[in-house]
Amino acid sequence: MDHQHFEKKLLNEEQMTPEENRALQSHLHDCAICSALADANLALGNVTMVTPAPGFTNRFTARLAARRKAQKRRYFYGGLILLLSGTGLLLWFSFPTLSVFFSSPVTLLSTWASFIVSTISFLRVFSEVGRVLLNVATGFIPTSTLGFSLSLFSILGMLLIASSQKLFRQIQRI
Amino acid sequence: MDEEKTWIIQAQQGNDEAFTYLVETYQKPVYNLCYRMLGVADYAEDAAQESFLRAYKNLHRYDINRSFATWLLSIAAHYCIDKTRRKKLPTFSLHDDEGTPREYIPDSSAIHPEKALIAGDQREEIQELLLSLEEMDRAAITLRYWHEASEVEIAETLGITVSAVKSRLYRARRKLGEVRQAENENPSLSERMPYGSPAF
Repeated sequence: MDHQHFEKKLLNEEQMTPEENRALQSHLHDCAICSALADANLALGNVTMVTPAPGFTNRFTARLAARRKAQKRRYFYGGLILLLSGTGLLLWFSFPTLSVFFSSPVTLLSTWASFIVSTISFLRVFSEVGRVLLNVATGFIPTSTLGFSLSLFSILGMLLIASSQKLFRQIQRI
Repeated sequence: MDEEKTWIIQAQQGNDEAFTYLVETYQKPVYNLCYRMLGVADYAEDAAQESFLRAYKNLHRYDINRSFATWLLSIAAHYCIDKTRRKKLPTFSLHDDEGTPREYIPDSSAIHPEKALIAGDQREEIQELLLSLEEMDRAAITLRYWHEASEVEIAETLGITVSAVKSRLYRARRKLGEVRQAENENPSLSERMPYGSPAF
């Protein structure tokens, strides 16, 4: 049994026979490398666990409460900013049409009627254009590409639903 | 179904008291792992608390058929590895600014203060050896010797293969032997910096 044999045994922490153990003890007197390895293994074999200071659970509960409070605050201010900016944008875009509400009833009615007529015509034109485009597209876009696009949109839709559910769960946990 | 699983399921359903029970049960192994990885009690406390917070946040992802201890220690180990890799923690030494060793105050509540002093010295010595290892090797050694985890459990905890665990343990033992040999050949090394952490 040479140095390499003992070094391998010590590095792999392999079990040794009583005979091997005796041979190792005499080898350790002459070999500084194996002696240091055995010493380190012995130190690792006698380790003890350290414990946290008393009140760890209470400190955790306090930290969890503080984290929740901070998250609630973040959600509140985030929601507030979203609401204010949304309201601001809505006001900005609807400002030109607001003046209609201050005009006479006849003008108001005619404006509404023209608005409904223009909306219907827009939708009609839009669907017509869409139908034409679809007819043209099916002529030169392969069916596989169309299928792939549809699948992609379905996956995106599912992802959107999954993330909404996750967000909902997180809100519930708060 | 055992009691722990009941607590886990209740905690997953949002019962804070159940999670507090889990914190109470696992605070010692989680704190010990963090302390062995970071080497400073304050950092270990912070890391252990943060690990429990992460566990709480991701509890819905925990698979009840797996070992909860392995899952929790995995969170703590990865947090500590990440922490030491991303941000080098400030040097901790029991020497003052002028290089004079600070006085070690033994635990007065211990029945034999001299034994507490020796135990403290041995603890610091092994901690010194541990901090000479690379983060992943340190985690593997800590799980193997302090938590008596098998190679398979270490692999699961650290997210590596069993053969990688074997080679890490082998390399770590070799490194520990080399450090110990250097200390034996040059005792002034350990006298000059008995508590300082070479890893920092």
